[in-house]
Amino acid sequence: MTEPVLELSNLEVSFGRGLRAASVVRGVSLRIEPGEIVGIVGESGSGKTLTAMAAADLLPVGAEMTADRWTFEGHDLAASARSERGPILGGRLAVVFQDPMSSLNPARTVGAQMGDVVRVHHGQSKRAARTTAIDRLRQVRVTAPERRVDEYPHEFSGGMRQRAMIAMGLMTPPALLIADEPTTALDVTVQADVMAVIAELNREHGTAVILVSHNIALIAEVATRVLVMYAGRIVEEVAADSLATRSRHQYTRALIGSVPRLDAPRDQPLVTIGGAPPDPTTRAEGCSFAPRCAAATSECRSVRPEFVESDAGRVACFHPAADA
Amino acid sequence: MSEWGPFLLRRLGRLIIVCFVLVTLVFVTVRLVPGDPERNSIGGFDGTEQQKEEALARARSDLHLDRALPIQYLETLRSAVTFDFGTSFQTQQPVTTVVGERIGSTLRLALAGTLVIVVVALPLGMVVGALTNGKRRGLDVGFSGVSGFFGSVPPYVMGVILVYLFAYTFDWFPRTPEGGWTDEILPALAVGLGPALLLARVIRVETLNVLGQDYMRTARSKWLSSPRVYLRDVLPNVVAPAITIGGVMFSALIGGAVVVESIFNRNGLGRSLIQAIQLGDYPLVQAIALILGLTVVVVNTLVDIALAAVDPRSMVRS
Amino acid sequence: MSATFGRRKQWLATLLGTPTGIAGVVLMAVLVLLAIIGPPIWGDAAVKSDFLRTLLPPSTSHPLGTNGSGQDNLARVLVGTRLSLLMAAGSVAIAATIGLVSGALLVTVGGRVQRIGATIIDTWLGFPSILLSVLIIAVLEKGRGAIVIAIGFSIAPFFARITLTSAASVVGLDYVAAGRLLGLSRWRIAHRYVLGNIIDSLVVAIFSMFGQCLIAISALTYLGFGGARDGIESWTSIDWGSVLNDSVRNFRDQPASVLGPAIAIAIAGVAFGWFGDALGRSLNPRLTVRSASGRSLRSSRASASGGATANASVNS
Repeated sequence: MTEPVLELSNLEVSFGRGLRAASVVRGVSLRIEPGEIVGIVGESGSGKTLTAMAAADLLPVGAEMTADRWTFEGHDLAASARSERGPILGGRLAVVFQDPMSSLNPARTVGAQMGDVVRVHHGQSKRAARTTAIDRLRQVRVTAPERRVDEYPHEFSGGMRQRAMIAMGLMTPPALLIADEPTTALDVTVQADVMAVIAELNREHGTAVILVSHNIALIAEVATRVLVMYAGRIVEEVAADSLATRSRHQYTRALIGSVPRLDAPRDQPLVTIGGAPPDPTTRAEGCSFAPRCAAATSECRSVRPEFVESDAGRVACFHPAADA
Repeated sequence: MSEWGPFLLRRLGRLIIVCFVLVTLVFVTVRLVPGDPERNSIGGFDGTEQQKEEALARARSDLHLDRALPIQYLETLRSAVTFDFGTSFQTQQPVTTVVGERIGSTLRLALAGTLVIVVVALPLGMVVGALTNGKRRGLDVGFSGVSGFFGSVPPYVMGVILVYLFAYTFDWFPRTPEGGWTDEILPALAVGLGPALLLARVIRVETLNVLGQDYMRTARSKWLSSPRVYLRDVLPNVVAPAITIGGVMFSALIGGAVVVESIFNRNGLGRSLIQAIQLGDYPLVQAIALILGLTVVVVNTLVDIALAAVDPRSMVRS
Repeated sequence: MSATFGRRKQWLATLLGTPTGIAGVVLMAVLVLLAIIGPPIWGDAAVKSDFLRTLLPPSTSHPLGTNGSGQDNLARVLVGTRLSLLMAAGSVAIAATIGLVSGALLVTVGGRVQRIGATIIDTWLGFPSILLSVLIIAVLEKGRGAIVIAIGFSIAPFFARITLTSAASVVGLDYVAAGRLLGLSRWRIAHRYVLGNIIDSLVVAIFSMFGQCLIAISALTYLGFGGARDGIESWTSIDWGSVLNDSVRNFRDQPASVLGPAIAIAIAGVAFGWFGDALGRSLNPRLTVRSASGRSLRSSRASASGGATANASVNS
């Protein structure tokens, strides 16, 4: 059995101390095998982005993380000092952030920023790095890449900027690409392009991908495996092709149900999930989804469900749904 | 990069207009002095009656006082452009000679002062910014206090104290110019330390600002070395506001130089200007005021251009 | 803004809330006190010449020594407080008046004229104040009055700029629009709405510019402008700049004498700045934003960049 690219056990991410401490991610474990595309889906506040950032060691100032196990390509990250992580992660783990406008340095050319990784971690010369950058820009379908590579971020359009960020992630190419809502800020046609690029990256270079999104339809299209998160915990893990039919958690079903269908009659109201996610500073008893769940019973409200193996994956629910 | 054309044009236009205003201002000032300008000009002149008459005549013609006012203005413009300013009354030498002798000292001081500012402010501000990012509150307060205090000390007071400390108490530096580059050190520090500390404060704030930006998170995700990140990702973003303030700093430098030259007995334009005003040597006053003023304006324009080169977005903003 | 004046205690607490705030208040009080009691108490020691005791080094009876006419140096510095402060006050008053009026005028006129005016003000502001003042002094009669006017004039653009930026941000607000809808004349709008709201920035500016004026005035009197010494000396002819001038001239023989005026000028400049900042914080606590790491953004950013610009352009 090959080594997983990334392994995280029992991750907890919290902010603040003492009385004001809030755990926004709890008990999350995941394991990414080489070549997988894993989607993490959930609404805002579910902790999906923080989980991904924790895995990449990019938590914001003020956030603290603990985990039983945290390895990347076999290297133990938990035991290493920050200064030791550079050689382990540099060039092997790439991140694409949500907002392309603010994630690129306005004072440097796109090419220069893209070149950083290969120049530092692969020792390429400035000229070689520029050539690589042009090639990657072409791969993400940025027109006239030889010109674009010397331009500044503000001269790019939004979609182009996001594609440039992905191109920047492709430079080495990495063993794992973490993409946090890569298409949220883009329009639908560009979305398709960007997802195609990610898929191609995975196919051609065997790059594993963690794709974080609130858009379950998008994830279903591209991922091989889907993790559903709610209120800081993973509530279900299911193979992507079973997502629509054999997902079991009530929340997952509600998410799928809320995706608008183009063929539905126009006067049919959009399906929503009533209520709101719980406050991370409180630790409620029982299943965190219970207040919003149609199938909740008193057991759900008092005892937190553990994972149970299902035929499509695993789920933490006392009343798993039947086939759809 | 098509934005450069219109931008440069606008800056050039502004430069020309300001130069015009400057010449006019100087012109008006000299002529507003009560009494006959030419008589005032030779107030301190010593010599025979005939030499006085000659000097008076020369003054009259240099200031073009025998012509109508509009012609005087045009003539002043012409001499400004051709650098022909007439004769200085203290020394009876052409003004251009006098200025030529002294401009070197002032330029050296301005450049040395700028060097002090850049060499001190950028590293200091960035380092303190990096160190106080979310921690080390003591350093934060300490730096604010010290830099605020010493930054407010005016150049001439700084100069006096530096002379007292280093030229007198420790005798490391000469008190009067001896020729050689060691002369430049204390004056440069006098003129540059205060602004350097103030600029360091701004740079620290900007560094903290930059460190909180999303693109720094992107830089962190690439796992590059700290020095590289600071040099290539932080510095360019910090330099832009620094250059903005830099322009203001330069005019402060020139202003500071004027007084500091007197303290250090340097033979520069600043001290000459003061003497010229006190003695009523108006052709010299006109020339020096114009030159110093023009220098400030030209440097400000160059700063704007440098700013545009570092941060292309600023071209569109103005 | 006027609501915060009502809460006296909170205002005082904020004023004295920081170390620099306390230092500023205390130093300001000391300076004002010295200005009042200086000449009566030490006036004689400052002007009494004693040619047997010229250029004495520091001692217990003359902590800073004596100058070339045998006068006690410390006494001269203490006495000089009054004239220095008065001259600075005069300059600030002139500067604030010119600046406020021109700024307010530009705002009410608005449009293209305002933009041109703003450019003029920026250029005027960017000019070294010493050059401007020196030219103005050349035109006016020599004397201390000329210095006050000259510095006042060269610092005026700072106030104009503040008026412009504060007023411009206020003019866009809803209640000004409401005022215009009600048909109030431009003058009334400027007067009632706009001025009332920029009072805070103005107050802070007045105090920090006070320090800058003091520094600039002392520079000019140091250089020897500002007037003939008539035979009879009194506090009206002693200010820090002229004392500094004296001391520097006697530096070879009596180096310690430069410390008195130099330190006085430096401290006064800083004290007014601190006081102005503290006053600004206490008048408008809303402007003080605490960032995530607890840093007070307004005081560090405003006094860093605004102060830097002000200090640097004026400070010569």
